[in-house]
Amino acid sequence: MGEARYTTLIRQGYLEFPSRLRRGRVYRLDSSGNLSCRDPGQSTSSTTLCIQSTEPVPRADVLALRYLMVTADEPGLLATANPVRFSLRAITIAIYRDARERYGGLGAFLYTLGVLGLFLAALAVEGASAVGLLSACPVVGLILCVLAAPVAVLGFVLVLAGLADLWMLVVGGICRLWGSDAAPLPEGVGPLEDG
Amino acid sequence: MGLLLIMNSRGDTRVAWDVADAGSLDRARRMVEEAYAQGKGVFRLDEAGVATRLKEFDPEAREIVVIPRLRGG
Repeated sequence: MGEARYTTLIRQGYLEFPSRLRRGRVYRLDSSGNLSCRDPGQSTSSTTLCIQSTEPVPRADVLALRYLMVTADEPGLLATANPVRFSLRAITIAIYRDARERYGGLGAFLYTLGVLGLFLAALAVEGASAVGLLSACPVVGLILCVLAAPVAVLGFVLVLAGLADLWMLVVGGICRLWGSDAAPLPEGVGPLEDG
Repeated sequence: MGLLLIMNSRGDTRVAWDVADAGSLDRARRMVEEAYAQGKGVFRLDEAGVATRLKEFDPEAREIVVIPRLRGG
């Protein structure tokens, strides 16, 4: 990464790189190799970008390969890394990408739809049985509530994650409308080129 | 003189090539093409550490780094 940049990484514990593709986004790579990003409206780099090697490599090389991806192949980084944050979109992406390796594109799509549908349907059953059946048919309602509860909890978490996405969409949109363009690239960060 | 670094579990494999030496040049080229065939990433580094993703072997490069195939975690 060059002497100057390496010295900065050791001294301050991280490097930051403005995104060339996403307006206002800033990537942070720390000295432990953790890669995260901060979008407009966020005060901290709360989204971890989890990208890893398919074969074991030394820890220092994990930092090096993430540095290479963020500075020289941002499209590849975004296509491969799983964003780890409390977000329905991030959860959906992680499920889909994991399934895609086993089932291919269409299979992964159906699998993801099925998993999310199952959790949300369980939440709907929980709600319906709690509101409707408990008064009309207490025994059946109670049984359905108990059976659906474990899965419904995950459905509730998905709804909260969706609300978090909606919140970030609104806040991020406001910040983009009111904020300036993305910061210029720091010296030494080369342009994305095709080799 | 160029240097090819291939990341692996042992740290990295280093192979030097010289554009005036057809043997070393051909060996480095074949290793890079093998990396592409395996879906690995290939990057060129300049003196300042600025990286550029390569789509083919660049014999004029000072340093080329090959990283393993990646996946989301």
